Amino acid sequence: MIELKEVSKSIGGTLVLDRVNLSVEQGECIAIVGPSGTGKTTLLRLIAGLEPLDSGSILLRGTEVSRPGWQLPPHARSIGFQFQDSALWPHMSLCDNLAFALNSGKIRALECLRRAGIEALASRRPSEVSGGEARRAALARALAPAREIVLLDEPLTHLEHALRDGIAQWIAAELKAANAACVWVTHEPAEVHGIARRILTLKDGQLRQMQSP
Amino acid sequence: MRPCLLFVCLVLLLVSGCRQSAPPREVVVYVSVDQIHAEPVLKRFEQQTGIAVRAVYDVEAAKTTGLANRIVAERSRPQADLFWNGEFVQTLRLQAEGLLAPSSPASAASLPALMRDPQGMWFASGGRFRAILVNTAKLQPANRPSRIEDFLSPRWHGGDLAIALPLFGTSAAQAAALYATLGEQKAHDFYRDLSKRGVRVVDGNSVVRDLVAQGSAVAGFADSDDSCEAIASGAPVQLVLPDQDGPGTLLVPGTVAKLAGSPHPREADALIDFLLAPETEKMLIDSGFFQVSARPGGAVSPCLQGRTVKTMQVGLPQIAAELERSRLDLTAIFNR
Amino acid sequence: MNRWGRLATILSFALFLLICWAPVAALLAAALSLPFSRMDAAWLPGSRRLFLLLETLGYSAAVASLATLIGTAAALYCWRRSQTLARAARMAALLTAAIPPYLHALAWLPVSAALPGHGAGELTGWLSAIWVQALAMLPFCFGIVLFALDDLDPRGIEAARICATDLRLLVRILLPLLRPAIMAAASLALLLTLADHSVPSLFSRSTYAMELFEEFSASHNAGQTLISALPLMILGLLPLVPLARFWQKAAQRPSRSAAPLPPLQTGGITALLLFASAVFVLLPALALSAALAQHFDQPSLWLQAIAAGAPDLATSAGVAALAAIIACLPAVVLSRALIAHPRTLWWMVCTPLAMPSALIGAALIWIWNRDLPLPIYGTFWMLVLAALARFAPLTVLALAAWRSRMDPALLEASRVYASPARAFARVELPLLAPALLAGGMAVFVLSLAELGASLLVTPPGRGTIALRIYNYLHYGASAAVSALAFCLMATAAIVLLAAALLWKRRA
Repeated sequence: MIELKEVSKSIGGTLVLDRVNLSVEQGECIAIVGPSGTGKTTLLRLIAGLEPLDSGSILLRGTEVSRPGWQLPPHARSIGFQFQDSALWPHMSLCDNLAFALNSGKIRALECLRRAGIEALASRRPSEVSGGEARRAALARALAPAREIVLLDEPLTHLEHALRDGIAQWIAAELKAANAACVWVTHEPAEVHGIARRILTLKDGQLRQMQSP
Repeated sequence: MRPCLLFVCLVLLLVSGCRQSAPPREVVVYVSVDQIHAEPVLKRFEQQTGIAVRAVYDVEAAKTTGLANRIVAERSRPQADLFWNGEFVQTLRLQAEGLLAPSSPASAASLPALMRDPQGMWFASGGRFRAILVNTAKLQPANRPSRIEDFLSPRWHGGDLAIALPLFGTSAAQAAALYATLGEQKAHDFYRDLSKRGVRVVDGNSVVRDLVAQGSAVAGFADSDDSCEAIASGAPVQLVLPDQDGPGTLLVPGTVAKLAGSPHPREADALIDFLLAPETEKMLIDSGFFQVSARPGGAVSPCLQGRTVKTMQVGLPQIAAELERSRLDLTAIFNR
Repeated sequence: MNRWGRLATILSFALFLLICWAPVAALLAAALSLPFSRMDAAWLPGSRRLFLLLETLGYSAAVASLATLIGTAAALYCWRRSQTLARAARMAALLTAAIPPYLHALAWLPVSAALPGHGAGELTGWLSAIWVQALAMLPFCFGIVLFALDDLDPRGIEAARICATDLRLLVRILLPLLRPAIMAAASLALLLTLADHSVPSLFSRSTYAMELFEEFSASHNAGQTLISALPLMILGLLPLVPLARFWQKAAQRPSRSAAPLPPLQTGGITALLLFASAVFVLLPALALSAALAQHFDQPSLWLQAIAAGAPDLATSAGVAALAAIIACLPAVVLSRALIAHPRTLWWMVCTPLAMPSALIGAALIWIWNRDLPLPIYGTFWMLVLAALARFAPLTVLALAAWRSRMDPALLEASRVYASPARAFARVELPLLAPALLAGGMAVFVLSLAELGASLLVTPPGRGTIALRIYNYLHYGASAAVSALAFCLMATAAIVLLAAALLWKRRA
């Protein structure tokens, strides 16, 4: 589903990704761990099409979507993306946030919120809900059914420990139900225990296998 | 989205409000008579004739040159039908540039020869005097100046007297008139001596009025409209019409002229006729813009207390012709 | 960027260049077509002009210092304070920013007349003008400094409070931290004062900007006026440097959540600051109310003046509304570009702000008074163009500042989930709405009271309310002026309050 071939990217003169290769199958979830500043988020942004790459190519569903000098716009890639800080649009209610992202009516949006367990908050704006609730809404947006490719950028950071396990389990269930390919970026390997099939580390621009759980 | 919609509606409303359906008859006039005085006159014209008046008013700061220059700038595509000027210098300048057109209004028949152009290019209407304003608290009647030359008397100390810089407006016209009547040498000597004796040279006639009204200066050259305003406000001042026993006081008349290429010539003729009518002159004298009619024996401001005034017999073109030369000379004298 | 995005960028740049830079280009063209001898004469100022330039500079510097001093003191008092006075000061800053300097003059003309040597007195004339212009500049200085104070990192201040009194905090921490903001406030006041001739002329004092206006009125030669204006324009560009520095800093800092800091407690100094706030809030309001109330007993005169001025008010409001809307169009794209290339584009955006208003009028006549397929000369649109040329950069600045404080992930998220057009309409535009509102309001309020350029381009039969007030003001404060001033201020206040309410709902 997701394939990176010899992808390189430098930011401000520093080589962040150095000829990276990666392949993620349908229904597979992989985790990428590493300290901050190593280029984990950049990798996700390249897959999402938010940034151009310097060399190499990226394929989604077997079709090339990025190569140097050309890239398919992000919205045409049909992916789910969880940003580090939720990035819910503050001028829309939670329901509108989902309806806009799904390009659908409110019924589908409400269904997604129901699965996230926050249906009751549908009409509230992001500023009117707690951090955990906002994160659930943002995740609901990224995991909305029929998204075959999901990119998660530290989905559990800044959340209370008590909430984390619940949300992680819910994410795992949703990914399984959708049979989605997922790249999960985190700096805590423990988070993805039992969810990710492979855990990779990103260091000096290179991806390395850490362990097989 | 609703506020946006409301906003758009509001804008459309405003825009539609800004578009005016063209009135059947209209006249475009550039006015350098003060708006506060001119507007009621033009309103009355609209009421009487049904012709819509579209006016552009000059601002005090531009000293009447603003609109005259706009007329020059619009030479290739004239926008205005007539120029209604509170004085005459710029009107004559436009005549020299070939920007005026002749007309023959019926109400101009009673104007004396000095107050109209022989070819009908411009006509005078109402006027102000170049007067001497005297502070009555500071000066006993015997000591008050009655002639322009009295300003050179050795009894004044520096700073007693004030004049407006004679490069602009009516003070420039007064200087040009002196150059025309006294001759260049005598006029030059007069202003040079004024400058040497330390007379206060300020930026405008209204400043002279204020200085004299407060007593910081004992006397100064001023316009009769400013002077009458000071008298009306109760300041201890008196208006002296200079040189009544000599060549007479300079009258600065307002002028009305039709512009070449006027887009609405018939309406322009109607407005010119209206502006020159004795009733219109009287309106402007009553409102305080003019003090005297341009016709002998016409209306006179109550501020002059019924005095008959001997006016300087000098043609307006003669004054206008001296203007450039006198200005150059005075620029050197007053080091500007 | 897709094809439509590129097209929008090109159109936005073209519109901005047409609005703000066409006048500059026109003046340059007019100046270059002058014979060399006239250029020389205009460029080398005579002794009188040189003196006038120095006098203008001194006057502007005095205004900037006074306004910055009182504005800073008032802002320091109001910072983190919720007492009535502090709240009133914030409100007053919003509302009085909309009052043009010549209306403050209306309030103070009678006071100035009572001073010895009124009008002619060089010193009293200047002092009155400085005082009035400083009052007009106060809300801007107050606003900038207060914004900078609210933007300070509360943790640093808390850390300082642990080891120092508030007085030391003020002197050693706050004032040094505020220096860019204070410089920016002074620069803005200097810039606006250099270009404004309305107040000194009402107190019978002449300034260099006035001289330019007179020169153009006398010669109608735009090129020659530009050359005469060069010294003033160069002086006007200088304040842009500290303003740029402050803006770039302010725009790049993410807004911080406000920790509950107590206000400054500095003993005697607090009383001084309190006094400054009181001066700021009470004096202009009292003076204006007194000036208005003075003639309130003549309702028939008020009604007459309002009836006469109503068409002018409608024209002004129409001009201001159109200018505000049109100014927002290029700003959406231009603000994005300004953030991407702040160094180069800052000057492109801000240089037009240093153009004296009379020159803009002169340039517009030069451009449009010829046979063109668009018959704009002599129409209402000349006034709109004049307002745009003067104030359109403000919307770009407002939007750029807002954009750089927005979480970039919000726009990126919209790119992931929606097409560019949908993302723009449903996410980017609504997120920018508060800044569009603020920038648009600034343009509206300033255009409503615009005078310098309108004087030259007003079409026949369509005066603006500002022109009428200015013409009447030369006869001193009267019932007619009071009535018209009241209408102008009420219009500005209603629109501003409506905008403030909308802002509160949106932000």
